[in-house]
Amino acid sequence: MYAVIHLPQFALQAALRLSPELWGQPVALVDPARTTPVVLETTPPARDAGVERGQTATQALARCTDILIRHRAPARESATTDVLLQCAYGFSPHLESTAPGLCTLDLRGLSRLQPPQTDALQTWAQELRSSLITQGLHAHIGIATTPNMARHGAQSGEAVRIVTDAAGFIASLPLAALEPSSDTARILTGWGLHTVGQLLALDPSALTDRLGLEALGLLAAASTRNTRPLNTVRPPEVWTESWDFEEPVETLEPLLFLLRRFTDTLCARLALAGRAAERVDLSLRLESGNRLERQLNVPEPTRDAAVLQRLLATHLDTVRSESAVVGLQLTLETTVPVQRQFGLFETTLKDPRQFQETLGRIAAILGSDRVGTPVRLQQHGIDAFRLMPPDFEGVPALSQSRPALQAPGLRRLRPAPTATVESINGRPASIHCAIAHGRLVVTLGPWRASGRWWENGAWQREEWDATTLRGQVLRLVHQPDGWTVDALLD
Amino acid sequence: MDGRSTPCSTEPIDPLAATASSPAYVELHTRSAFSFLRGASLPEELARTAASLGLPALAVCDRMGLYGAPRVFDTAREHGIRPIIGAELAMDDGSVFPVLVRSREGYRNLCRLLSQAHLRAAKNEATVRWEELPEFAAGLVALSGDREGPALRAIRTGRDADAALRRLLQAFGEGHVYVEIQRQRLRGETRWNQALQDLAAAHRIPLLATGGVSQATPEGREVLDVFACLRHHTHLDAAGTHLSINDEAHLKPASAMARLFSDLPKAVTETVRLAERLEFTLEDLGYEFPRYPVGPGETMEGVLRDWTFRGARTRYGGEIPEKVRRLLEKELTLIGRLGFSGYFLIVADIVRFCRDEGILAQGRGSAANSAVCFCLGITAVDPLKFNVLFERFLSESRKGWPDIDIDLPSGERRERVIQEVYRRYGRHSAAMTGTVITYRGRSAAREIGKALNLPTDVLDRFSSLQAGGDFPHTLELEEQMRQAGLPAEHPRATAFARLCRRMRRLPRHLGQHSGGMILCQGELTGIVPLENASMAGRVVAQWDKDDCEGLGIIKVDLLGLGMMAVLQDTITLTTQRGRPVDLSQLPKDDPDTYALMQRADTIGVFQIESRAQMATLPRMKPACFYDLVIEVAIIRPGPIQGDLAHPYLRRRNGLESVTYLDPRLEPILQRTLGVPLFQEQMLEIAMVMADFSGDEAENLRKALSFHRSDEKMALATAKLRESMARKGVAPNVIESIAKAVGSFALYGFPESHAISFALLAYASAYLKVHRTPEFFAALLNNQPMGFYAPATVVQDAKNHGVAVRPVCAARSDWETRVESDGSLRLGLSLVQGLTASHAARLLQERTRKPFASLDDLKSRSSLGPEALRALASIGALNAWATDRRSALWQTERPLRQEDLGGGLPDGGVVDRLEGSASPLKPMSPEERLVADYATLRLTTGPHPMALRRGTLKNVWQSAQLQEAPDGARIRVAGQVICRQRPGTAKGVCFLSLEDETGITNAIVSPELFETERLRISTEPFLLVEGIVQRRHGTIHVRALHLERLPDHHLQTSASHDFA
Repeated sequence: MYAVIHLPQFALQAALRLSPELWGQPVALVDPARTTPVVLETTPPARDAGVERGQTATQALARCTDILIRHRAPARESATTDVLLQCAYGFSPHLESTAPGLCTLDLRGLSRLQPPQTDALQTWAQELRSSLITQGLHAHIGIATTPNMARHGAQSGEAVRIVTDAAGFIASLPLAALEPSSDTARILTGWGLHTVGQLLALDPSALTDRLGLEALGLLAAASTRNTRPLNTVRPPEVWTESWDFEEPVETLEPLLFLLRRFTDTLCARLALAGRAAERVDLSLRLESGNRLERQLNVPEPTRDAAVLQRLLATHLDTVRSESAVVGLQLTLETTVPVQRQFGLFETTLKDPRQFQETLGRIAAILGSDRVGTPVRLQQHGIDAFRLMPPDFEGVPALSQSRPALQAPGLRRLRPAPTATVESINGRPASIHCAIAHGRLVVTLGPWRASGRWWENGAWQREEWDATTLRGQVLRLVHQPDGWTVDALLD
Repeated sequence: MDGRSTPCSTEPIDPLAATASSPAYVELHTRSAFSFLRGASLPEELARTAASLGLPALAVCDRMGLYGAPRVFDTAREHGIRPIIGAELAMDDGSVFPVLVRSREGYRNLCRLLSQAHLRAAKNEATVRWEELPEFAAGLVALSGDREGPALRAIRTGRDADAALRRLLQAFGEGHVYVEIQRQRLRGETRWNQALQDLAAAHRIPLLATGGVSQATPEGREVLDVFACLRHHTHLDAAGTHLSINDEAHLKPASAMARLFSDLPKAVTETVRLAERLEFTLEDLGYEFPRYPVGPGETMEGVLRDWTFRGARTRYGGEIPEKVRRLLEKELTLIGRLGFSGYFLIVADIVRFCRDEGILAQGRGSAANSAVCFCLGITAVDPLKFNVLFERFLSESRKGWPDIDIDLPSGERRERVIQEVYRRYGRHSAAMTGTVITYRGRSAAREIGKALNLPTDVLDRFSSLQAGGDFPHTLELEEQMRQAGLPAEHPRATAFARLCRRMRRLPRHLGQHSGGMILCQGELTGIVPLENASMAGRVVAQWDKDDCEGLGIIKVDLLGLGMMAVLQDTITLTTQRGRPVDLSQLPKDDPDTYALMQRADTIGVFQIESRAQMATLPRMKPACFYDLVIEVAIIRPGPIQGDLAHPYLRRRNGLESVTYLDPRLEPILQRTLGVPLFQEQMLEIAMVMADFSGDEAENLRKALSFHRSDEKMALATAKLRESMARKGVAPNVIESIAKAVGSFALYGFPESHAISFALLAYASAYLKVHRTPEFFAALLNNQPMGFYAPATVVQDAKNHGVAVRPVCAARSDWETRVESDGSLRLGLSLVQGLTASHAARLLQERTRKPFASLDDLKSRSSLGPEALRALASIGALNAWATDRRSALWQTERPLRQEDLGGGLPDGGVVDRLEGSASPLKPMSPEERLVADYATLRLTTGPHPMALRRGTLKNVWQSAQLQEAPDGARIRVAGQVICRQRPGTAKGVCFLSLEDETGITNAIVSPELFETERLRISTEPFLLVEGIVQRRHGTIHVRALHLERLPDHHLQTSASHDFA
């Protein structure tokens, strides 16, 4: 016997898994990646308002002015598939990730289902559905003697369908159940065929004559006897739990409560998989739209929930957010400890994990956005760079030659000290600041730059190079909020 | 004295001489928005800004073109500064540098060089070859360019800058090359500039300070950044160093440039010295219209006289009336004196070519005022009959050339005429005029949205909300943004709104005018740069028709009119069917034709088929030709905006007495019941009420038709008001006249034009009445045209008792034709998915031997499966099958060897019935309807509304509305075939709903439109509940509530929206 779990409207389920209340509202899911985004799925209230698949977002809005447009999110779909597989894995170890939102389970060897009695199968399927419901997923389950029939059962629209009269059942199904190619579907529609039964009533040889190999494929898909081996998989080792709060959270307790639940569940799953957490990624989504993200390195990989909870509690004690928390995500990075053999002249880090932990501590002090390897961005902004995670494998050899310096050495001052600059005829004439003061004897400039005018982060600066009486060469920067000494030139 | 003359001054300008006391500087390197994505300001804005900054002259050097030169020329002169002509040359090695024109020879060389580069390259890919430069260098001065310039490019990349400069010197010669130096406050430029100074010193070449200007003011930088994104196919977040580093590339006053180059003052003063050397202006183009070749001993005047009188004898039946003779003599004398004889001969020759080739051609425009044009066969309007005056076409006070537009059947026939003109004058002496396609609300918003990295669905919604075209009146930009999903709080909303306003009206690309051709004696490439149009075989000038006209270049408009094609095709069909009709001999006052107009039965009739025209016809009740002339002219934005249409109709129907604002206006306005409707009347009013001279009236006419300049219009009306006031005209009369003139400014419609159009309207109405099947066949064969989709045309044909038979592969031709019983047989051209070449093959094989079976058709016609399915699904293969499904079943069966004509190897007989017995159920009526619309966009079967009628409760049919009492609240429903929201209707939207019995007109108030905007714009079927309004013989439903009707996935025909 085989069971197939089908998550109807998979993309929409994935999008709304964390916002189940939206199922009661008109929502349309569109795919922003398409050239012309069209509605892929809708909630029942949206359908009631006349919003249909294939319409543009504009047409959907025309039919239902208060419809919510949600974008398809591949990452959420992938996470939902992970949850589906991990959940199914608890019911049968032989499982196949058949397609997005479809999972096939081989029920052989499950003692409680031997021999397969309808009542027992029904109970088993309901338990599986309940388990998925706790994960925010609504599944239809089909059970039959072949994987294909089980799939048709799951896609028949019933919550649980145990297929007994296979021939009658398959004949009643719409043709789309056989998933013909779009060309063939058009031909069959043109012929006025709507059900599998109508297709099967045609002479197979005449059908093959006209549709070629695809006819054989359709007939095979409609077969009540054909079986196939499952392409079994293990659930992916991605360990993430997340939650969107109904109301913004301003105190620590609800966060810690939820995190305890997350860590308990995740650690239990780690135990089943024989893995241990080596890093905890915590992401807090704030009401302001910003995120507080933090990577906490676990000094020694563990699946002890208490250790993780302590780690998180210690960190959260120090967190001060600009606004309330509206969402939470916890991801565990796991590992199987490996032994590393170093060569005699090894130049890479001997213990990257230790180094990582050190970086984590530094990040705890400086902020995680201030640790990493800076990479220059191809932009005009003077500090246009971003920090990349350290790449231990690609550390450049020290012997690599550097280009010879062709200009005076520039020493950037960070933070740049503020300065009081007096100007004469628009040129800086004297300066007073922590590192220099007095008359400026030579000034070059100004050089002007500005950018990001198209949103709030607009910036503009005017630079001067100036020499003091004492011979210091300064790079002065004038911005709307005043003067700074940005650098010293040797 | 600041060196500036007053606006519109005709005094010679010598601004350079007046700058001695102030720091002098001339900006010599500026790109306008006509550098397409490389400049952010219109040439006019650059010239205005330069003038306001006190610059005495300005050179605009657009990339590979002189696109903006006439506009700079006009505006600069208006603002008292001197325009200098130049262009940036994009070289084949990737470098770019500007050249400036010194003399007429230089101008001609530059035009030729640009034309040569453009004409050998694909559109937008033209480059100049270094080796061809010397041939065209005379009269030009080269600057070394900015960062893209050959010298600085070499310096920045460490290559041999000396060699790069030498190359320029070799091409242009010593004394004609300047090393350009720019300071845009960029780090690093000091080093580059030092290298340039060294280079200049080494070669003893003067340094020249320039701004490298891309925008008139600093604010233009934002548009420039958006353009950079469009150029590099990226968005602002990812564009990085493609964006400007600052906003310094703007026009600066001399004082600022003097400060910037205080260490190099000579580089600044050198700009003035160079500007003094650049003497050329566009006034001196050297253009000459082609001379018509005449025989030895003949003159053009003589030939024109001969042709005219010969034509007159034909027109007036042998004997020329004395009145005509006198008029012709007068016109010919004036034409000869003005030197326009050649022009008339050339136009007449083109018309003669059309006649010889069997192509209908009719002149329109002010040429309809000319008896010579009538006798030459250029126009079909006898000016004596309509009492129109030749002076409005041509007078000694008019400086410009006469304007003759020729209407031709659109499509292949017009193309033949255009190609003939190219053939006669050569591709270097004839070109289409350009049309500048500008960024409008929707296109600007889409490009800006892309650059700002906004979601596509937001931009789609924004575009949908733009559908009305005149939203500034009803939907503010910010509200439109909010409804599209871009609220004011969005971090990029402010920039979006700002950019939308700034980018509007900037040029997007150069298209070709629909029919304006310019011709030249000698080479046109020496007058204006030419380039290849996107359309194969077409060459287009870099200037639009206004620019050409402004500079005295004469154009001949060869305009394509769908209705001309319909008329010609109808005539051909009637001749083929033994019912010939001669357009020139149509009865002038056919009662049936006027009856058709009076009952607004005018779908497919030229000019009077729109919803607004149909609503007016029952009020107007045209009963003679001049009524039709007024009907054509009255439903125009001009008269409607000027609030002139309703007074005329009220007076005509005796609801208002005929009065005149001033007794002096009576002779002018008598024929239009005291209401000014025509442009000619406006000019006469100006002459009588404001003592305008012919010249001034001509300026007013130009202002009225010069669509792109509000400024010109304001000047003209101010002068009119002033003159009327001076003459003591009462203030209320001045106000009324000024208002009418203002309205005409946008859409002035001359009487001569209306007469020409009315001729076509009358002819089409006549043919609809008396040659109904042929007329409908021709209409269907010339789609898309007019207001209505083929589905509506078919429905209308059926309503006129014409049977419309479906497409049939055994009987249909490519085009729709009339069968012997007077029914229409739809043509294969209507079938979506059937190419012309496949259809030709099918028809060829069918002519050779009729198809014996479907397999025979499949094997001989070589139609692909998609085409066969399309034909089968609409019943076009039913000649060989019992029904559509049966045909579909058979078409899918692959052909076997024996089907291919080889027969069975053993010589056996093929069972032709094999495979024909279909196991499929025949299509239901609904399925046939869906299939028809999917493939033909129309049906010859029941109307879609007929099939859903049973499900509609208490919904009136269109035909039943005749019984609906005024003020009743009813429900109507139908397929939306037309949505209109003209700018003149103050936000009201007009919907035409078609059902199985006719068309219902619904009116949607601005408030209801705003709340139901998207539903109205997007739903193919609507149910409207509202109040019946009976006014002046028309019935409307004033909508109170709108609902969509489920469309059952029916792909309907397209509606005609918002025209």
